[in-house]
Amino acid sequence: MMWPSPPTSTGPAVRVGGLVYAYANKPVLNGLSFEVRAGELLALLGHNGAGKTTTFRILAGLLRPDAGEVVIGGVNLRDDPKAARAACAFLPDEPLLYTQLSALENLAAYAALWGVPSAQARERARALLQEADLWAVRHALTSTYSRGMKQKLAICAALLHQPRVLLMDEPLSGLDVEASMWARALLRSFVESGGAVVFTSHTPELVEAVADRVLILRGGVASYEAVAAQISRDGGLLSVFQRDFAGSPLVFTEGRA
Amino acid sequence: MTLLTVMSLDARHALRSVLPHPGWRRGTLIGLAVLFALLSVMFVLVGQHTEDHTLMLRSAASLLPALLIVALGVVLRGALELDEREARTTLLLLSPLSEGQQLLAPFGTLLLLASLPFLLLLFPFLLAILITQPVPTLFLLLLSLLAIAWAAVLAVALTAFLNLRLGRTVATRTLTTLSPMLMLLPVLLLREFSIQGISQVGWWVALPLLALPVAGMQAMRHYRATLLYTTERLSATEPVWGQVPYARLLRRSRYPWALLGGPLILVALWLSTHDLLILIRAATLFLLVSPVMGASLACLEAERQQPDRLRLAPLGSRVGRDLGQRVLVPVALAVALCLVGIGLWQRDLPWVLRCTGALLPQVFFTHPRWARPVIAGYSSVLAALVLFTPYLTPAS
Repeated sequence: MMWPSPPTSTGPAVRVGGLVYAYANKPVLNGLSFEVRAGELLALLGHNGAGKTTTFRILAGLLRPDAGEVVIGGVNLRDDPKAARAACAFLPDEPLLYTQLSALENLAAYAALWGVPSAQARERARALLQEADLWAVRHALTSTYSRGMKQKLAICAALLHQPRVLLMDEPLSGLDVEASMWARALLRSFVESGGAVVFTSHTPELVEAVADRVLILRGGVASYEAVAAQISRDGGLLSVFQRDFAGSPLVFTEGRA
Repeated sequence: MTLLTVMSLDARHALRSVLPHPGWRRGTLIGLAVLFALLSVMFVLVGQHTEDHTLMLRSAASLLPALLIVALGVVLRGALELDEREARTTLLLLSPLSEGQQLLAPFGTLLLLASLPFLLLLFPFLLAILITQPVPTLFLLLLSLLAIAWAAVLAVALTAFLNLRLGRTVATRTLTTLSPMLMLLPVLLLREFSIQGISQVGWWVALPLLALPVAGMQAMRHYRATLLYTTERLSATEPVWGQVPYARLLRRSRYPWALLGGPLILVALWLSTHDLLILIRAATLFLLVSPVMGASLACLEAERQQPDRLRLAPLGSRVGRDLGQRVLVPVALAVALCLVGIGLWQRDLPWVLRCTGALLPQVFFTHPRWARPVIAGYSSVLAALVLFTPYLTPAS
């Protein structure tokens, strides 16, 4: 496969330091810090309202943090937001698709917006749609697509410009078993090629099966952070969550960057 | 969910389609309509012909066929709105309403819509002559009610027929073209409807009275069936790489089809021998500008609904700026043409230059975030000009 583009720096793919953000004086993030290495899949978890989506929107450059810094692919988001955005792709929970355009037209639009040269874009679009099993319906308007098909197309659109970092809010929601397996294989292939993925999910089993490392947000900071092996030793993600819900202090274990 | 709730929700949606401008602009348009109705009442009550009630009655009767066509246009527009809301049909079917009520719900809404032009144009006349000529006035009132019902039945039947024969997409486009023409042409060609006796008009409307309930139910059954069962697989051709296909988005919206009716209305307006009030001419031009504005908004709509896309993309701001330019230039030209049209009738070039000069600079607010309020600004300024400028009196 042709993703991601080669890294330009040797540092972590994503570095978040002391992130602070408040909505109308209601603090959401209180100095959140973490790193994601190239070739790593990080699951960002937490209850509803814990600040996951806010973190994603800050990483994607859609929100400006009150304090702290974000470095993506070696580029500080504050210094050069365009370059930082070009290095990553953000998939919100609701796919950002033009519903009155076909799959190919959507990819053409994304290519134009991300400045992918036409010839390359055409080739990549073909490969991605074939990979996602959407080639046969490439000319159908996406308004006629199922939720899963739209999600697959959104993933294709995100990968079109060969980002080095994928930020995915509930990437596997709405996918059937086959499509979910396809997406998991694709994510694994992406990180094995040197890319980095940060994603959220509300399914602990899925996170345990896919993630290399897990970070749970509570009170605007990372309350738990562990690599896959450590999660098993802690009794599984469900057990960790139960302790989190009960308000028990969670102990930082290995994997802390 | 009660029948009344469904009908009020449908009426609200359909009204939004007839007056397709959100928020305060719709309020302005409704205000204009009410003002127009009040002016009509005042014209009837204190005008020059108030003594000749027979003439007024005959004038009102002569309006009836024209109003039937206008109502048909309004109802088609409403049916079009219901047509595009598949979720509404599903919701209606899931509701505990009986089948009869499910049929009645959209029909009742369309009836309400059909009554709008009659309420605005005919009722002031009827109110004014009710006391002096009660019997013929009540007869005319009955005829009006029948005409409203027939307009709704015809619109439903036509929508069902087009849905079935052409498919929902093409039917929607056809209706979009037809409905404004039907709403405007009778007004512009008013002279073609010569003054006729009330009885003559009455026969035409009252004769098929018995057929009305049966025809109504049949039309609604067909209409509902087409809403439920006509699904289409929409597809596109190979895209042009290297650009965001906004032109295709525009083509797939219904607005360009509304523009097709424009030239016909313009020709009718030009050839109209009737000494129309400048108010009607200006309002017609304003309605011609509306589809241009609508088409522009259709391009913006996709980015307005999901603004994150342009914000995320490295070239998003440039693409957005280009889009803003492409959208606002035709709108500004249409507005300028509208102003020139009004100015030419009034033979007042300085007025045209002043208005155009005041409005055109807005075209430089090219970001999609600004394009929408700018279009709203154009719309309201034009509406205000049509209504309030002292130049908008009949040319001597």
